[in-house]
Amino acid sequence: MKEKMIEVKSLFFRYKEREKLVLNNINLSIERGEIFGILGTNGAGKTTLLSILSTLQTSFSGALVISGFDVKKQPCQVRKLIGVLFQEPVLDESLSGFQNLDFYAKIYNVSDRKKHILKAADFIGIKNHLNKKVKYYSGGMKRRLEFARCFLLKPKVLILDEPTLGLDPVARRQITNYLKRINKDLKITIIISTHNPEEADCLCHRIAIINHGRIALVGSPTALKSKLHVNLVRIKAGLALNTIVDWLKEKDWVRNLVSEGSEIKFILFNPERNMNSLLNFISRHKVLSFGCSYLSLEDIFMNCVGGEIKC
Amino acid sequence: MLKIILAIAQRQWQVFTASNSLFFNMIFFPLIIFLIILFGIEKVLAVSFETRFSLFLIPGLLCIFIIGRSSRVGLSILKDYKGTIKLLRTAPISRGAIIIGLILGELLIQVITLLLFLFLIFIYYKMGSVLKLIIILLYLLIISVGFLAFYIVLIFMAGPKYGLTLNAFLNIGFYITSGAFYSLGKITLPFKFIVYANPLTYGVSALKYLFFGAQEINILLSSAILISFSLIALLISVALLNKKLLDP
Repeated sequence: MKEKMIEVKSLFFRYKEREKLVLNNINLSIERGEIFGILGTNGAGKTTLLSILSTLQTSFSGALVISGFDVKKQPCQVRKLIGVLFQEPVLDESLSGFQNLDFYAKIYNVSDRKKHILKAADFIGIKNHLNKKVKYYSGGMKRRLEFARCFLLKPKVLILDEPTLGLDPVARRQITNYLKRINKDLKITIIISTHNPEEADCLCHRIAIINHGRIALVGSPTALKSKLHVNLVRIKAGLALNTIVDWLKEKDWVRNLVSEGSEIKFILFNPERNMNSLLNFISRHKVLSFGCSYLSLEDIFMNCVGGEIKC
Repeated sequence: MLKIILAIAQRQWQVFTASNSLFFNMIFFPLIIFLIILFGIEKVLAVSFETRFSLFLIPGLLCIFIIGRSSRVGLSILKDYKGTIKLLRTAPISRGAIIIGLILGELLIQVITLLLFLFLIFIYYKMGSVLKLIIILLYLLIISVGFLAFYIVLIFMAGPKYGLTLNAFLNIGFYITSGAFYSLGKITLPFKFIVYANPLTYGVSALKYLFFGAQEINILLSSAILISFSLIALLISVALLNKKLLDP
């Protein structure tokens, strides 16, 4: 059995008394070395959950333990284990990359600072830019410098609040690759919040979808996709198109039916129960092709947050 | 803890010296004003006072410099609060070290820049006494602590939206009603209340005494009021920052 790194039990949080709950009965268990994604819309409670994990908010109710330390009672012990990246880069733009890293090396009492700074910068690929002022860095480089800061501090848990927000696809891909690398090489547990399902799908071992402060679904991307009991069906129908469309329209387990040219697309609910009936009907008509797949994580996400699933 | 405090204070200094706009606003621009006053105004006005007019203006100008910088520091700490300070709060260091480091760093910058101005003043007016320089610097430091703390409290309570406007409004109010540009003996009664309610008045008055011996308010009284103001403001600002750092 894998070791638990983070345990959240019945966590409730509101910013002020009598205000709406921002986090409502959160229960999570994150294993050591796992990349855990928190997926949610803006205002779902992702940042609040991460600020609680970062020890910035301690006025929550419930239990939160990181590597055996209680966040409420032993925040200092927890702070020794975590590295945090906020949504907006926290860097002194007028200072060089090296000066930025050196400041945190002093704060965290890193021995042989220069050696460790160069090592961290080398690992993240910004060693040659360390003497430049941060204001001349690109958005992606600023993020990488922040990652270098995190590695320098050798955290056991990395807490990342939408680290790829505002970055172009190339920089996003780079950051994703770095995260995979540090997770693999350094065995750092990573908790990452995002509202990008595609990013969560390709990066995370497990994902929690959070909606209005509640956890709607937790699981691996594959498990989540299969959990919803819906399939995306595509049929190339040829001459039988109208007959099939008419038949499908009558079924309550068919949603979002679209017919374009000779192709029919729809979402099939409860495929375990209804697939046979569909296949029986289809087999009696001449169809050119038939395809069935799980919904994408984005569709699962949309389903959880009450949005429309597109075929 | 000392290492952390020094690291934070050093970072404040590094940011100050590395940021061209800060350096320009805090050293170059006031220096130009000083030079204009030292070499220009006295000749243009060509009036005879017991004290040279430019020297009469020096205490007020130093106080204006302190107030201007203190209000900027308040705003920059508020800006930092969502950035570096927030990140430092996730580090395994004491909240006290963050607060002391921030205030110490800013005071260090204040002292170094004030020393530069004092040297110029002492050379120009041929004030030879090092002891006098140290005493004046000490008074300037007390004024700096008081107003730095005052502006931190004010800006944190007003927030970034109103902080800037309130700053500008209060700065002008402090300058005008502090006796920086006139003698307190000549002001009329209703205005007197405002002047004496302004803590900067006591700073300017004490400096006037130290620079050219004019005792508009008894030096002991002005020193006592100034120290009390600075202590109270410092205690409130530390308490406020501590509360903000613990419970955002």
